[in-house]
Amino acid sequence: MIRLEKVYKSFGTNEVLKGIDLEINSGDSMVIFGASGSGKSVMLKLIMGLLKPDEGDIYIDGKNINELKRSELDELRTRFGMLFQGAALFDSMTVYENVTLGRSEHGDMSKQDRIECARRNLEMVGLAGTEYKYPAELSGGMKKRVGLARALCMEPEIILYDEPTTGLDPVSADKINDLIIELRDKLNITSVAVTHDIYSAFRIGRRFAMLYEGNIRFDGTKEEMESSDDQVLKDFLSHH
Amino acid sequence: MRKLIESLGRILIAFVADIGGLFIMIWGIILSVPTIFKRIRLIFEQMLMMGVRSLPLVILTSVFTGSVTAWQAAYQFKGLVPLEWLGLTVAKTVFIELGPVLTSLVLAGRVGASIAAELGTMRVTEQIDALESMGINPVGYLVMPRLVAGMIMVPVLVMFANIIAILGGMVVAVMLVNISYETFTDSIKSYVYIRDVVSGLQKSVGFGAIIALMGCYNGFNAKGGAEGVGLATTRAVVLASVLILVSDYIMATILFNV
Repeated sequence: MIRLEKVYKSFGTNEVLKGIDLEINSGDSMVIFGASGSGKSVMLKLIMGLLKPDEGDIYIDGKNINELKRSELDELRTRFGMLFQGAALFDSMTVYENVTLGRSEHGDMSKQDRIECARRNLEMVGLAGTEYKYPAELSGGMKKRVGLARALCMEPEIILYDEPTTGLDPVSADKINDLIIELRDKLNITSVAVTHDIYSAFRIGRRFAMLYEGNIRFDGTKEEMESSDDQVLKDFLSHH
Repeated sequence: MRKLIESLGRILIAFVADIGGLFIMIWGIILSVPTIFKRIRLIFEQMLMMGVRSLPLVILTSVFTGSVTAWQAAYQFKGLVPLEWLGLTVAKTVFIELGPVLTSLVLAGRVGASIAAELGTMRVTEQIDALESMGINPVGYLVMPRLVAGMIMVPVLVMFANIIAILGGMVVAVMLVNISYETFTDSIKSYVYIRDVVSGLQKSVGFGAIIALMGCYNGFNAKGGAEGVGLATTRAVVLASVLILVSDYIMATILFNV
């Protein structure tokens, strides 16, 4: 379970998060949505421990990540997978090396198993046979799918998706949405996605939170969201 | 007045934050030393990039450094100092000062900029975050191999630069100043001590560390997009160059008693 308690984060004079409280249960498929620049990606980075909150605490299965040592945090991170907004593939490595980097660095898999892991996950994301290509040879959608294969190769319990469909054409975006749904339903992985693409949010999410002016404005199911009287929420939905 | 104090305060805070950040990075490197054997492949890759690929530039710079040193020394000796001392002057100047310092300044431009641009791009495209998200320590994976490679390859390049510069100086002395080969080399053999060569190489180990650290630190802390990477690259080269010159003076006072 992931729990954020009174989390504050600022960059210079820009207060991005102003006391966020949020709980994400195991097996949840949570989508955090909000306008661009509202702090959605910052929330994901705080959950991963890539950023530290100015105030407040973040708990993963009861452990406060701000109190963990570097080695404990690295250990905890191996339970996560993260799909970055721009895929964040390593330019100098092949697709195979990108997908298996985490495994080869942790030394917990033989070379043969790593090859099999890459093959299996690339096949899952529909990119079988691309092992020896470089990221520069792939389209934006393909890069995101390789990023997802890389996250899956770590066999994560929790996957964080940062704007999974942003910048993709509708067909590629739908492929990514289908993959996220498949992972959610087949593997029962806890997922947290941040997006401003409401169509994608409704497809991949079961629970929704709206981030507005540094706070969680709404937290509930699709049905609760549709029946809400909150004008800010209604405005956001009607504009997207 | 208030604005002036505010901006001075901001500069001071940024300076202290940079010093703190640099020490945190150095501490991270020390902690990752036990993984050095796991990183041998990355260290060799960096040694190839920093060393072998910088060799043509270093050779070109040192040929002219040696040549101009011989020519200028001959000009200044005229009527004051016997030209038999030309070889000694060129060799001592190159071994102690010009070889290490000029080579390191050239490498600060080539290698320091390249490290800062590469890591800066990795930072702004979230590749460094991606490493962390997989539980890989980016300081151990990216910084430590570059630092080790810098501390090994800069002295190696300085050795090459010293030899090439002295050969360049000798060609000018023999062909243009009309000193015999024997006269030029005899003064080197008689009065250049092993201590002169070693102290220059000792300095270049420090310069190698400065170039790699400045490249890594500024690249790691790049912000924004292409503009941020550009700024980080410029800062890396400027800071490395300034620190090379400052530390050169400090090391000279420690290594050479007057």
